[in-house]
Amino acid sequence: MKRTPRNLLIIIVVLSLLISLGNYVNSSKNLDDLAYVMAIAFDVGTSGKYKISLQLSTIESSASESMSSSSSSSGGSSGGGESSGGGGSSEQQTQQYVINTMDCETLDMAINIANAFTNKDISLSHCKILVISEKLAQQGVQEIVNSLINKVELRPDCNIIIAKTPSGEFTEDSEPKLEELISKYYDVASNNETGIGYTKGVKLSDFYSNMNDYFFEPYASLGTVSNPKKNTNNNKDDLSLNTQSKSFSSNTPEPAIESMGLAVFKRDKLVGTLTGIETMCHLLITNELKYCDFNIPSPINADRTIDLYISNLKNSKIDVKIINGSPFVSSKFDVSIKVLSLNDDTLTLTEDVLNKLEDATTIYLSEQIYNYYDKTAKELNSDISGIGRFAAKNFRTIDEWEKYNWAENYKNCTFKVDVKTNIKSGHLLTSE
Amino acid sequence: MESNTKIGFSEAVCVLLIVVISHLILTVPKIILHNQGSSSALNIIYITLIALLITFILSLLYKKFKGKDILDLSGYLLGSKFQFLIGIMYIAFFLFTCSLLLRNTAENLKTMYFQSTPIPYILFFILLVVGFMNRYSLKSVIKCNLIVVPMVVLALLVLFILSFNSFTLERIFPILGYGSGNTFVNGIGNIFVFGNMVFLFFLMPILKDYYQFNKIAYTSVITSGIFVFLTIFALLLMFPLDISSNSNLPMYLQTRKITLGEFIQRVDAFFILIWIISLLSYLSIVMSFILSTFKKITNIQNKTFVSYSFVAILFGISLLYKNVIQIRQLDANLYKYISLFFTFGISFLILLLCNIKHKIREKKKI
Amino acid sequence: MNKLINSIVNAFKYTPPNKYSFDLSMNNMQNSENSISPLEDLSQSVYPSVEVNLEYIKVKFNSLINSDIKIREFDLRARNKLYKAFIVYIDGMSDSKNISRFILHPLMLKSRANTSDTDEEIVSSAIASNITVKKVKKFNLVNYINACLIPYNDVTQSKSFDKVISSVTMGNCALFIDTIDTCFICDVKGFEKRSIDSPTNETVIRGSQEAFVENLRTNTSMLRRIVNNENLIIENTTVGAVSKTGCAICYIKNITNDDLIAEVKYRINNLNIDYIISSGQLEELIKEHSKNSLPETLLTERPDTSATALLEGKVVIIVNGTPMALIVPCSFFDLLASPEDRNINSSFANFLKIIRLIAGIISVLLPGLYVAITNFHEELIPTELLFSIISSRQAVPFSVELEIILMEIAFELIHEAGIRVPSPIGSTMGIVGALVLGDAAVSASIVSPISIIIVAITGLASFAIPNYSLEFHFRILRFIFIFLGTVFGFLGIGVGIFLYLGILSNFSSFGTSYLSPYVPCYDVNDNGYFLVPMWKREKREDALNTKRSNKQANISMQWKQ
Repeated sequence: MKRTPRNLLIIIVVLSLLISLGNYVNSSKNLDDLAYVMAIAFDVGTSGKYKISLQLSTIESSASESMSSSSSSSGGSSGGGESSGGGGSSEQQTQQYVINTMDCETLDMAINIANAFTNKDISLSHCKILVISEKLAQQGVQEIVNSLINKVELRPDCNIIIAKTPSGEFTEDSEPKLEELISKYYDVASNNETGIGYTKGVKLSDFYSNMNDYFFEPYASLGTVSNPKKNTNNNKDDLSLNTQSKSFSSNTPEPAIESMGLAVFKRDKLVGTLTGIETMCHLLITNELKYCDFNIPSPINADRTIDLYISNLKNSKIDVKIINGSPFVSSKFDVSIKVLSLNDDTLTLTEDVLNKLEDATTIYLSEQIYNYYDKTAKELNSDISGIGRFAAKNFRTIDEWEKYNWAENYKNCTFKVDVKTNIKSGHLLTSE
Repeated sequence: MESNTKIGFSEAVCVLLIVVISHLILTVPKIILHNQGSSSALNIIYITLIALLITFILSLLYKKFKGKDILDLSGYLLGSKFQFLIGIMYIAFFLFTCSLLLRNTAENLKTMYFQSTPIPYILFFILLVVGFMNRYSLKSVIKCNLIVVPMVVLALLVLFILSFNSFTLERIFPILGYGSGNTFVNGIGNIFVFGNMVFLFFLMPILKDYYQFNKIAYTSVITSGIFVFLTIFALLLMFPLDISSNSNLPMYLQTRKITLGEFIQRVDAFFILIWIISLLSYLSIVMSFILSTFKKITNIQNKTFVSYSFVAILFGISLLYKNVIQIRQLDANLYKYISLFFTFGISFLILLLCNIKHKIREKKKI
Repeated sequence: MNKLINSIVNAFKYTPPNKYSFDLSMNNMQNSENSISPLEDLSQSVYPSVEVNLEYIKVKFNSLINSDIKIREFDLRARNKLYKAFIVYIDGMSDSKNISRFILHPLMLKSRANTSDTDEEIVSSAIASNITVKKVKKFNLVNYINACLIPYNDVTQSKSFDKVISSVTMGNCALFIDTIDTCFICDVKGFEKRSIDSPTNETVIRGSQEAFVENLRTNTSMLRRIVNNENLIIENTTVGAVSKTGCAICYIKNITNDDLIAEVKYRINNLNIDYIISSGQLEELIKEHSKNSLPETLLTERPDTSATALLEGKVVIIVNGTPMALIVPCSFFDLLASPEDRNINSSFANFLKIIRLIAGIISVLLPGLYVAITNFHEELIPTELLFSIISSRQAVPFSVELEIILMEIAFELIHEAGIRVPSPIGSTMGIVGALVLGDAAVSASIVSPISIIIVAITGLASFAIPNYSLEFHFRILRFIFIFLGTVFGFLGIGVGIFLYLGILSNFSSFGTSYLSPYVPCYDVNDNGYFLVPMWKREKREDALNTKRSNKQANISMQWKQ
């Protein structure tokens, strides 16, 4: 009996401590008290350092119901407080999401302001994409990326996109067409690069990793909006998006997000962009191209093009030797091609035609890869393919490697490309 | 040690493994990657071989002292006062190690999930469990550990396998890291990762079969080496050196990179679950050893009351550290040398001196 | 003031724990006594005088008040002499026909046996001077009556009243005869009992369809039929000073460890209680860790399960009046096994075992994990599912943890009510209660649909646990994990899991570790949680330390060679 009152006393003390301090110290967040950010957009600020837009998802009671549309309110509150203070902020509300845009110095300040607007705690744990405008990227994104990667609740696999339009417009105009939920739309859009070949979804963790890597330079997806609502930038003629000088912009009357090409960085500053075909070359070199469609000018009839399906048979072999202080990069590619299109040239796929196609494809691919190397090395001096990791084995220690300064020596590279193309027969049902 | 506590081969190996794994999850990779750079994997293989050599020497030195732990050896060497002193030193060492690990974990948990919870609250909650577990005998704690270790090992292996996609094999170049001197000469200091070997000196009296001691020692060193190698190798290949050598929880970063399709994302929370269980098991075991040591050097009867006192002491020491930076500095600098001193310094010295004394005595008899 | 100080000091004073320790495998049997000193008073032996015996019996049995105690006085004829005698029996427990035919009839009525003047038994004779001197053995009435006059198969003699009284209360008939200080006890039990039926709680498809009944002898006979070995020992003992409930301790002498048998007998024979009614009460009384709700014995109503346990080297305890046998020792994995496992193909059994293991984990952890994830780790939930949860919770006034607790309590109420309600409407009540309550609660926005789903899945998983005690234990544990998940998320859950593993590791059942054969790491010998094919089950469990460890030859299927 003596032990029982003592044990009881201990249990009561412990429980009362836990419960009494429970409310004060409890870090739990009620699901209903959180507002979930779907996308964060960064742009150059007008009154603050950055203009940050947070796209918050509204929770509807059922998928078929819709909220009242287009009520917009603008607040002129200062938010942000002190001397470095935030600027104005505005809020737009449409069916599925609410966008809060504010000028401020840091992301945390923006979240604080948004908390005040939404009266809920902002949660970044389901953020799908990060959009940074081209203008801001040219100034440098290290601060943004560092603050984002250190946010524990932010998913490190959210996609990072460099927008040619102002990033706020990018999020405003991203309305899902084939999905109901915006989160699903972002998921599908970002992860659907398999089979496209002209773009690649880049995760925040990979971007951050490349920014701090001595083998890689960072890169990000490049996106734009065709027919933006506000139409501040005329993107239709921006040919840097287009492959082979042809426009891939959709001609729909409604705004639509396009993702085409890559944005190339040197450390944390944007130095250039890659076109679709250059992106395909990049994916070939980094062994990330599973398969995609592309077309080449027909070797038989110069006015026509032939559609081909490319898949990476084997991993590319890249070797780097240091000759007289300059790197010599030899790369070998072994790709498998299937003919897709059906026209006069491909109606009869004889061995002769196949051989011509193979040669034409080899020449075309080699040319494009050389162009890609030239652009990244000579023009942009940014080793986004990570050729440096093959060069590192020429050095014994890290000090030697750092002394060599690969980042600056990349532009002195000489490239040799060897493409082996293997065209299987056409597999067309009606070809002979 | 308690006379009715006898453990077998698997239990002993699991005790030694949990010590390595608990430190591996937290601070060890950062220290090694920071010091050795791209030659970390090579360095780990190298120090594992050295550890095996040391184990061989240990087995030779321990031949004549089957059934005796470090306290018995120190008593044999210089009497009970020396035994008391050694006991207190080891207790202080264990308390320091535990407090560092505990506070580091609590700080990390606070950063991740418990931003508004004060540190003492988290520490109190964890130590409540440790205090409860110490009401049971050492054998029960070791049996519990026998269940925990396979779970943790499986989790680490799954983590390694799921990380395959993110490996960049070329990150092992430049092969010699910061130089061959740094890898093979300065790198010997990294043998502190085998700090679990200090428990070999306490395990002897509680083994069912003393002749399994050598087998236990070799198995634990090899398995520890394998785990350390796999972890360091994975981190080296997944992240650039700047990130892996500067982040406080590189393994946590590793778990954040794992996605399996679109449904299974952010499995780091399950990793936290496994980590907490392994930490609790480690703390319970070390606390049990502290209590057994204290009981041996002071011959007390009431072990339970003393266990609460030691838990309170551990709580106090864990709160002494000012901030996270201090903890990380102590971890990176002080812990390494203290661990080396106790595991490979004083323990071996005592063992060697005991062997010499034994030989002299034998000669005198003759 | 002193009293207060004393009480505080006493509350915190160290008292060495009174720890009972029994470890089977270390042969560390500290308690070797298995019998207690006899309680009977010597003066309570049977008197030679029938009147005194009669009075004694009348007083002891309160025959003036007790309506079913029957005393029949009569005159017994033996060797053509009449002796006064009486029988005592309990109406309703004894078979009157057998009493009349085999006891009263041959003793009362004249017959050749009781009228013949038997020859004196001559021990030796000597002839001297034409005088024959014969030494004769004195006539023994007790032997004569036992051997010649009572033509009944089960007759024992007793000189002590205690044995006589307990026999009569069990349904036997006691015969007292004048001038003899011995009482004859005839086993004429004839009370009504339930016939052997199929098991209600442990139904199987392929196994035997017999279950234990309340009668001890019937149960032991079922065991005998299955085991079919002369080394099966069924020791009878009584528990309870007042109820004298019969208990049978069954074991196979040349398989079971002697220390285990001694320990079981020691615990049962050292219970200082007035009565026990069921095996459940006995289970609690012989439990070592009495404060813990984990079961230390396996309860079964199937004779085939009990026989398997006996053949594996365990001890089975059957209590009179309960159709449930206790099997000791038991491990945690035994509690998760179903009686069907050994009747079907091992791969099917292993599949079901995996399902049960998952069910066990879900039953304990699912609500706690749900609360922890929604409160601390909502990033784990896929975005679409999260929005679906939030949108369904829009109008719900309660927090997640309160919802779960309310639904769990409601579920327990429905469960309990379903047992009490008479069976024709019992199952309907359960379905109606679950559907209507659940649906109505969602429509009224008291709870969200996801909580209903979580609680329903947890309930289903708990019903998949074959052992009733373990299922109950998990139901209690669930609430603890909900609390831990609420307070500290995954840290709390991790702490709970570790503590539970620690408690399980410390637990033991009659000297064997609760998590054997995995913890401590014995040689599993194909006796682990998952079953190996029948032809591979060669050895008995190491933890039981049996006398006969091999149960199959290396190559058991000799026909294949």
